[in-house]
Amino acid sequence: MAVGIVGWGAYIPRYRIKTREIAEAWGDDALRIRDMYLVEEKAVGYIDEDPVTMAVEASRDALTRAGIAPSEVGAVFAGTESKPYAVKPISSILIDALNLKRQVYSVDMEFACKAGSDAIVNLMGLVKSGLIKYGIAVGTDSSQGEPGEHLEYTVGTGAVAYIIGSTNLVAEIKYTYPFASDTPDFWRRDGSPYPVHGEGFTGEPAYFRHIIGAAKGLMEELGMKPNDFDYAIFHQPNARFPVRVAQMLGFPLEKVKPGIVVDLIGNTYNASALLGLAKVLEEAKPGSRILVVTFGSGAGSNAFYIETTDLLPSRVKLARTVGEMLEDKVYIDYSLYLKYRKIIKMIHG
Amino acid sequence: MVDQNLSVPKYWRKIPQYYRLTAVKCRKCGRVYFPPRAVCECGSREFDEYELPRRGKLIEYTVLRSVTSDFEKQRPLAFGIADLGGVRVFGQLVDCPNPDKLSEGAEVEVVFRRVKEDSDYGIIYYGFKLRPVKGCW
Amino acid sequence: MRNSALGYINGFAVTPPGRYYDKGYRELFAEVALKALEAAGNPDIKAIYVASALSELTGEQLAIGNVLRDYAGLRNIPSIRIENGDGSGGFAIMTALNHLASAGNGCMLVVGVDKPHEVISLKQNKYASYLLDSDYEAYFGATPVALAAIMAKQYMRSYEYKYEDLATWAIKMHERGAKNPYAYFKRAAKLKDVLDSELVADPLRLYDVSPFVDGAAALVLCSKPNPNDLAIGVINYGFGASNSYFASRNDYTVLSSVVEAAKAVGPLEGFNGVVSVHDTYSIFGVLALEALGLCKRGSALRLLNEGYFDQGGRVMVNLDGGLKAVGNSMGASGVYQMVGVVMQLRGDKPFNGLNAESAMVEDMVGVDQESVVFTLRVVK
Repeated sequence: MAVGIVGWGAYIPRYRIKTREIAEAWGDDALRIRDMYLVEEKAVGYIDEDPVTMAVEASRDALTRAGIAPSEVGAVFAGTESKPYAVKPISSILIDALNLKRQVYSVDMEFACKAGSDAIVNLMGLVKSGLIKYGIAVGTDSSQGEPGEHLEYTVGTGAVAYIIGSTNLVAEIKYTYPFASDTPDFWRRDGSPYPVHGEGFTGEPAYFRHIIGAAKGLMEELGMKPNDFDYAIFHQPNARFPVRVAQMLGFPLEKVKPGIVVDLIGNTYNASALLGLAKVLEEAKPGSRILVVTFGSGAGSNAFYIETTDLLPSRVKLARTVGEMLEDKVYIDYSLYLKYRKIIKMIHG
Repeated sequence: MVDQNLSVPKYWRKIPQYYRLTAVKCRKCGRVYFPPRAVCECGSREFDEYELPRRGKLIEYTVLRSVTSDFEKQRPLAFGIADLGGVRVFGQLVDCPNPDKLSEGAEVEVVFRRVKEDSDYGIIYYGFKLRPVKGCW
Repeated sequence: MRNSALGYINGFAVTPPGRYYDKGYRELFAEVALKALEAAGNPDIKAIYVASALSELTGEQLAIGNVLRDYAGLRNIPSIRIENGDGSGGFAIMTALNHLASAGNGCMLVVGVDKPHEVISLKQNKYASYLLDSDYEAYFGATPVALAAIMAKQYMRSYEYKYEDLATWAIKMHERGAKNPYAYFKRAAKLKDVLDSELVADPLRLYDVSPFVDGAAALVLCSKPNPNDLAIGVINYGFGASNSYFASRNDYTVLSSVVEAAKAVGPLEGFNGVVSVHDTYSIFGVLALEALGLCKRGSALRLLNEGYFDQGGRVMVNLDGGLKAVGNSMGASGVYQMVGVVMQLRGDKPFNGLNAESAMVEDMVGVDQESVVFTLRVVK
């Protein structure tokens, strides 16, 4: 049974802050920062946005593109690492926001930045086994960057939703390959507002080892080489890592660039690679072969081999595109950034 | 237990209205009411559910700077009245730094946002807001 | 023209509105109730109507009538609290008049009392927002002034007024308040003061907003006038209501509940005398004049600026300074308005030399939710 993407939606908030603004507040060299991460600016949600609100926006667009009724959806899984409630799921709010039926499987998933793609894998299983007809996988994050710490330069805000099914596919997910281990490169303790990371340790032992492990594993099992793919999309903590891992795997830059969004909106964590995929779907011709490899700290990767169908081009313009949302922007300064991100300590009555 | 200032049931039962702008449409004369009501102007008490369209035109707006205690950290608040498929709805105007740059009848879309929360421990209220599609800067 | 009245105001008293950190609901109630009763000759009272919007919210007291009656040493009289937002006063008076009619004879005591200053300003704003639709307007953080601002914008745009035209309301109210010994604001205001004041809800500024004040005002309403005094009778009242959800109204430049109330109390053509409008915000005062039929739609602001509504004219408006200068005592405001026109009809200082024989009082709930309009006359 062919399983894959029936519809998709993305959401990028309107506001942006330039990394230069942040550097000025902390006395960092703006050009050096830009050179380190190749991130110009990042997306910032308004004071009333959060992973729930963005999940709703992305999911609504996904349903529009899929052209299915909410009552046909049998599952909604949300992958995130910045839940507003430690206990109370985003997926349950999605049920009512999207007017899904009550008979629906729902859960939130956590594996740092990988959970959105874990939701996709799980839904593929539910579809293949006949338990559901369609399922919505959401990757949504509004993670906090600790002010004055380097993560602040790259952590962005965004969401993406994919409807998984077996009929009327715009893209078939032909193969998946996971690669995971206990590698503590980046974590956030329960109750802590900001994550902790191992700086250089997040590189070779974590990001590169697991992405390469998953990508190579998938290609070996399928007997495929980088040449066999039209696009390679990787998890994007900054713009340097995906370009370097592509090099290490042997993918030329022009196959990687279309899927890079981090330079303009920052690292959207669970949305990251999947937003890159949404952008590629907007330009890919039918029959395009796409490699997507996600990564979540802790650590693990999911590799996907995706092939687009004839149904894809006509669906693109049915809802907001990543291209449009990248253009729809308003710049804010550091003080508004702190206010919107609620980093200024708020005392509520 | 921590004191809860915001009622959960009072919010929960209006989720169809807050999340999806679920109005009621009179079965007899077709009038649409948002917020919903029990008896139509024509006298009928039979209604069907009807979700308002999520796009419309802005009729008027203002910016409130003297806010209530629950919105102190969100001020200023912009509010607008939008015409959504012939039904006038009042809501917060968001993602609009300079509303005076809006032209009359500017296109707005309905978005899903946080409205307020009950301190650090209580419920988070979500609901619809109005977002100008463009033209606020 | 009716010569008999629904009721006569045989006694009245006010406390100068302000911030009474040293007095609560009980003390303020007793002050004015006892004074008003004395002025009326201590008649037997059939019922006490307590007009209060905030007694649960700031007084943390349900069924406040019991506590107040006890404190003032008034026994065995039904004590009913009337709540209708900032229109509680007018509706308490209406209820008392109805009760008088059904009783056939006797007297009622109406006391408006409210204490917004038991809480801080952010809380006051929150309680004011309870005047709006709790689920669909206040829920999103709206307060009445936000809706008043929308009305002001639409009115100024429709009739081509500038903000400076609207600023005149505050200036004139302060002028009148300066002569009123019980006004809260007794200082005159200049155009520059108004223009420099902070924006509250664009385009309305601080001077367009009547200040919250603690206050208490009392009336003794009787079926027969005091034979030894000037007889001031409430001749009639009219009621009107508008859609409670603001956005669904047809015209944001009209106070349609006031239009309906004026029609119900009418006919008001050719009215001349003193008028009290419920100017919670400047624009509400302006729109009320049009809704009462005292001038054509769109003309009130121009006439106001020309001095048409000043003392000495045919229609004299808010000579006490209105809610702007006297203050917004919420549930008590309507009773203050009534006392103001009674003093004006009686020619009591500072309102001597007016020679007014008729009066009109418009009390409104929230943003044009519902209104009651009273007509009064000196009855000979």
